[in-house]
Order: sequence, then structure tokens, then C-alpha cells
Amino acid sequence: MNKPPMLGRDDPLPEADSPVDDATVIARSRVEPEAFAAIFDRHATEIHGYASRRLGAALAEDVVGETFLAAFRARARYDVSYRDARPWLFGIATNMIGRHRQAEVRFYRALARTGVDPVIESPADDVLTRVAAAGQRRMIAAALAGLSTADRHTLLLVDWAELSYDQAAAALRVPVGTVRSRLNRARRKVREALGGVNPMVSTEERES
Amino acid sequence: MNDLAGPQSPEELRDMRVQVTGNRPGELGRARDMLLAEIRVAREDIVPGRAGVRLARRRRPAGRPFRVRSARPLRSVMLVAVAAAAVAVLVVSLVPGSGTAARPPHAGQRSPGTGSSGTPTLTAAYILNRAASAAAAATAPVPRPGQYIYVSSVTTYPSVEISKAGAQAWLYRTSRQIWQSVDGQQSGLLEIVPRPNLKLPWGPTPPAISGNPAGWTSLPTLSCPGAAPVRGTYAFLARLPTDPGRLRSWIYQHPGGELQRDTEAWSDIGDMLREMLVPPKLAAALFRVAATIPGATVLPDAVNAVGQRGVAVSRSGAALIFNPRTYQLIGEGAVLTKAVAGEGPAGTVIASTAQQQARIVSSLPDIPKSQVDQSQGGVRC
Repeated sequence: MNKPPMLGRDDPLPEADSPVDDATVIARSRVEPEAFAAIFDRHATEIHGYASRRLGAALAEDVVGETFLAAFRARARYDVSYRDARPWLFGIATNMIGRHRQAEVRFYRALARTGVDPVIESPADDVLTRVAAAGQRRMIAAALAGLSTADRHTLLLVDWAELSYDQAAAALRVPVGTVRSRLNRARRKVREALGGVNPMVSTEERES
Repeated sequence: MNDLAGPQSPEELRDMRVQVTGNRPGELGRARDMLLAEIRVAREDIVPGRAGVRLARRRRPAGRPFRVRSARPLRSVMLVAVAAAAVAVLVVSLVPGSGTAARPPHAGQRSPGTGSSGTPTLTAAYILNRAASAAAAATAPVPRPGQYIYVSSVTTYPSVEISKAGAQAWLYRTSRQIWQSVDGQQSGLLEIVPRPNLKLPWGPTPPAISGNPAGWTSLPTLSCPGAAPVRGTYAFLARLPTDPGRLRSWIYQHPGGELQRDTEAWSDIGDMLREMLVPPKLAAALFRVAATIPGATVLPDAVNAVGQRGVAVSRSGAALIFNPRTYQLIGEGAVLTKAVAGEGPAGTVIASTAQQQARIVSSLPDIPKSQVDQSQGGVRC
């Protein structure tokens, strides 16, 4: 008996081991949910680093778990025209981090007050640089604590998650012009803080 | 400072992030386990080919341990490999004469070479056009906003267990009842009842019945008042063109996913027909469009999930099964297009469904809220 013709050779689907973009994996996960584990393996480290930076290590893994759980449940609504899932994942992670707003602000205030940054393991090379860097970090942390939540999300999606303005706009579901204006405002405040005009730090120091 | 560019962030702000390294996936076991547990539950209830998620979680009494039907160890590398294999290699090999692979008794198709059908000249286009004519001659009630489409069905899917000994599979079955809001503006409801498992000829004897107890799940709202109808609702289908040419253009211009064009169109048509009361003129047009998609083959002796014999057309592993006399759609099948470890050789009908009833109802059944698992998400209006 003749070997039957194989159907569908004209429309190859990605092979299991070929690199496929996030959109393809997520589309596939609607039929084969297991495929979604690859999204975790690709992006969990970056989300964890980002969440650690904003909330400290204690809450970061919870945020990672909540983020990917929410992403998995929302996979049917993922817009597959975005090949890269990072803006989507960071958008979800940002919402999860937003639930811990008070913890985040406390985290920055502690850093501003003490100069001890618990999530940075390798200090700068020499003592002088380290001290200078620690001083700047304290002022930046104080400035971050003083930003509005929306401005902070925007600033940190661009400067810490390294999203483009367009991607940050998609993550936050705001127009790109809004990203631009929030960034300008947030960056001005951080710069002012570094310039020594920093009521936050003095307030904190008086309190402590 | 350049006002157009706006202020730049100080380098030290970026450095604060650069100096923090996130844990590797393997070091994030708690977060990963959360996801994998959800994935395993989702696998139970998902309908193959469905673009959306048909809801996952079953209600379980407080304090009872959480059991999932596919008791896979948390070895996601394997999970992903299996998933990729099952999806990536869907290449149908079923034409008359190819039916030599052993098949599960409920879901296989007899080898046409030995067969009794006597209809080896049927083409996929012929069957689909017959189905279109049958649909066009049918009548169906038209629901009002606020009503629900009720559909009952039976589904059969593989449950794969991966251990050191390799992958082993059996087939698990469920009965489903679903109530979907006509316009997606109300929550729907889904009941899933487990049915006895079936053994595969090459697989182990499965537990009689396994997995989660029967349960109710509320389905999320999909749409807000005044908003345009969204995919997955009757209201959306009711607005599609019923002229086959125009419908074909629309389907190809609005792919629901990311597969190759023809494969996506075939898959999208399946999505529109599934668990739905499709307006007869639209159903007719959908079958006529399907008839134009190249690459479909005939399975002359297919069987749906409740053992009704039919004639099927299959493309890229996704089959539509029709009553061989009336050409009504009686279910779907999923066909392995390449041998998959534990699940079977190429040609195995590894999943099938049977749609039993579809009708319009004005209200959801009165199920105590404590017995209904609340779905996540839904639109906020």
C-alpha cells in the first residue's frame, strides 16, 4: 500500500526546538496550556529582578507567581500582534507590585534613611565610590518614595524594566504622550533630588 | 537642558537595577509550581482548537486535597516538549488506505480499505457543501439580548502521565453543560461532570474515574453594555456576513490566532461552530468557506465522543464530524499526525467531542453560589 500523502506540508508549523516568539507560544498555549511554561522560563528571571528591585526579596517571588498566574489566565486575551510578551508581563507585574504600594514606599524610605540596599550584593569597587554611590542611591530612593504611583510605574518601566516608551504605554494602557509627560515629571524630580533639594530625605531624617 | 528631549535619568538610577540579578527559573520553585498547577487544571477542561479558554477551575470542598486528572510530575521541560510535539507536528495522514494504526474503540475510524462505507470517492469539499446545504435548510430560534445559549456535550481527551518509565496515556471523558450569555454582558455558567476513563490499546488500565469532582464554574463577562459584540458570543456571530465570499474574506482578514493562513482559517471556523447555536445561514456559509480551504481530507468512518458514527473532514489534525445521512455536525475530532510517545501512532483519534443539545434559555439554573467556582477576570465596565 502506498504511503499516504502527508497533509499540511505546505503549511509548516514551528518545530518543537526552533526558536518561536512569545506570541506564537502564547497562541499555542490556548490549545496546549503546558506551552505556557516556556513563557515563565523565558521571562521569570527578569520579572523577579525587577520585582526584587522595587519591593525587596521577601515579596518578589510572590509577585512573580501572581504575575504568571494572572498572565496564564489572561492568555486568551493576549494580543498576538505583540511578538514580545515583555510589555504585557511587565504591565501585569506592575499591577501586582501596585498592590504592595505601601511596602514599596517603606522599602525606598528605609534605603534613603540607612543607605543599606539589601538587594545589591556586590558593592562598588572601592570604598570612596561605594560611599558616593550609596549617597546618591539614598537620594534617589527618597525621590522614588515621593513620586505618585503612576509616575513611579512609568519611570521604572522605562529605566528599570527597559521598556521603550511605546512598550511602557502598552503595559500601562495609556497613550505614549502620557508616558512622555510622566517620565519628564518623574525624571525632573529625581534630578532635583540629586541636586540636593530633597525635602523627603530631611523629613525622614528628622523623623528617625 | 533640552526641553524637547526632556530630562534624562541619572545613571545611578539605572545602576540600581543593573546590580540586581533575578533568580533563575529553577530557583523560583514556589512561583513556578503555582503556574504549573494552574496549567494542569486548565489542560483538563480546555477544548482543543478553542481560541479562548473555556475555564479551568473546579469547585472543590474546603480541606480536600487538590487533585488533577493528569497527574504529571512537575517536570515542565517534559511538559513543554510534549505540548510542542502535540501541537507542532499536526500533519494529517488520514486518507483512505492509511487507517492501519490501532485506535481506541470509541474514537477510531475503521480502515476504509477494509471498510464498509463504500464511499471512497467522497471529497472534503463535497461533504462540506452537503453540510452547508443541510444547514441552510434548517431553522433555529433567534435569541434576545439577555438570554443564554445552552449547549451540552461530551468530550474525550488524553490524560498523559510522564514518569521515569516514559509517557503513558489513557482517555478521560467529561460531560459538559454550558450557558453562554448571548451578548457576553452577563456571566455564564459551566458544569463539568467526569465520566469513566477509557483505556488506550497500548496504554495502562486507567483508574475507573479520576480527577476532580463534578463542579460548577461561573464564566466571565466578555463585553460591556453598548460595546461592539466580541468574538466568542452569539451576538458577534450574528453580525458576520452570510455570503460565503464575503465571509471568506472576513475570516482570512481577521485571523483569531497565529497559525498559517489556511490552517488558521480552518481552526477559526471550528472555534465559531463549537459549543454554540450558530445561525443556520452563517453555519451554511462557514461550511462553504471550509470547503474552499485546501488540504482537507476525508475520514469516512469517524466516531464522535458518544460513539455515533459519522463522516469527517480533517485538516492539520482538526476534524469536523458529520452525520452521514443528514450531514448535521455531530462533533469534532483531534488526530495525531505523527506518533506521540504514550499517546499513540500517527492517525490516532486522540480527542473527540459530541455536541448533544443546543438551545436558547432565558436564565441560568439556580445553583447556590457556594457551589460555583468564581472565574477570574471578566471585563470591567
